[in-house]
Amino acid sequence: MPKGLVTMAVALVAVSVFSVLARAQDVPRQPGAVYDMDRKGENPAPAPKRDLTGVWEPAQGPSAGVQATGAGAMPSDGKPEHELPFTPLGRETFLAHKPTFGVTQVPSALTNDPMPGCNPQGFPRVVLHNFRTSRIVQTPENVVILYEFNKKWRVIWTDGRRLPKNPTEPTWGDPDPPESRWWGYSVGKWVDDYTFVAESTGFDDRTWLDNAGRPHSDALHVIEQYHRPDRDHLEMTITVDDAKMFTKPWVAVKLRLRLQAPSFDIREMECAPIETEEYNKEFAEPAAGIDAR
Amino acid sequence: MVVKMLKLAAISVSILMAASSAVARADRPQHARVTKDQKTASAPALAPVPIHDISGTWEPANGPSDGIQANGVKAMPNDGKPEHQLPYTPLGLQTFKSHKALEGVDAVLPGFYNDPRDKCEPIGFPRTDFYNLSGGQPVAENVLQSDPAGKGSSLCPKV
Repeated sequence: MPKGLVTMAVALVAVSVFSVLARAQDVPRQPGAVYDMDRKGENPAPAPKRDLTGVWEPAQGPSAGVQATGAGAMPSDGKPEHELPFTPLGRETFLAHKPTFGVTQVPSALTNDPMPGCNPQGFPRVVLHNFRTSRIVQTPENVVILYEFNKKWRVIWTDGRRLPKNPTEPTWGDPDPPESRWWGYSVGKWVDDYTFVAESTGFDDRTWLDNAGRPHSDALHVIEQYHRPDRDHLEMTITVDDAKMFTKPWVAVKLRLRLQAPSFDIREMECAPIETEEYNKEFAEPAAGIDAR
Repeated sequence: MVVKMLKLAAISVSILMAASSAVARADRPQHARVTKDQKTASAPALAPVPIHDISGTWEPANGPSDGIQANGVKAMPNDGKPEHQLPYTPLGLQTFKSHKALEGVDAVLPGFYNDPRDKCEPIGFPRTDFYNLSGGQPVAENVLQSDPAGKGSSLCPKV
């Protein structure tokens, strides 16, 4: 009897372990990437001081960075706790947007989302829509983030300059006429040895905040925090502040990232109108009941 | 008299130099930061080259226009000159002729082109270097990102 119990226990343990492994294998993965599920019970080394350098991937798998229904911490799902603090202008602008995801979604063929046409999605949408593998590089003057999604990059200046009150300020060059940017103007600093905070302003208001059509104005101010609790992890928090569209700042996403090997080669993910066209023909138009003939 | 003539000559030379310098400045589109850098770069003594290091922000040394290769790759533009004729295979020539570019000796009118760039398709590499090499932003180690058209500004179609 005890022998039977032991056998059964061993079998149960084996089945549980096998099913956990099977579940882990089912999770979509970037080829060659390591996730937290692969290193259970690990004891990571301490974080290096003032260093964000490396290739970072969502720690729970690539899907963790995909925020199809809007900013990860505040998805457009109709739940009262995810209702954004819109101003009247913010709500009006939100309702004018026709996203393909979220509670106000329309069929793809009827959307007015600028992104499917490969217009720049800009920042912060790149991190509030589809945060994929990203490489962070530090130089004495700046932190550069290279995003896999749409193969874009941003520079966060750490040389002591301030955010431009006016983009014609000498440290920011002398554009004529003064220009807003799809990716904004960004500066950052270390607030302690393991926490880097960046602020960005000067955005072009033609982009959307997220996939669900949340709007922003030219008054958008984004605060990014990168906290490195240990060598292998980075905690990214993005806060949106836009007094024209929202009555108060709100946290849009909190995402835990995992450090990858220095040899990790980031895949290509580029917006191509020719592929959008094929997608529309194959899927979007039939789904919207549009006869292409 | 001689002193007076020399003074006059010196003044004329100064005026000519100032004028040509002003013309050069006016003719050459420049980024504001580059103007400052160029002043530094004009210093007579150049520092030694760091070993195995290409990190930094790089700009065409003769001004941003120098990286623009509207008529095709700078060393072999599509200008009809025999010395710029590429060594096509039959397939290469056939493929080239099926491309309807907006620039070069075979340029077609807008509306008849089939250049994917003009529809905001990814320009890819090496065309990013062969078409519009502008300011290359940072970086370090093995990472280099250039700033081709379409990255900082939009050439994309409106939806």
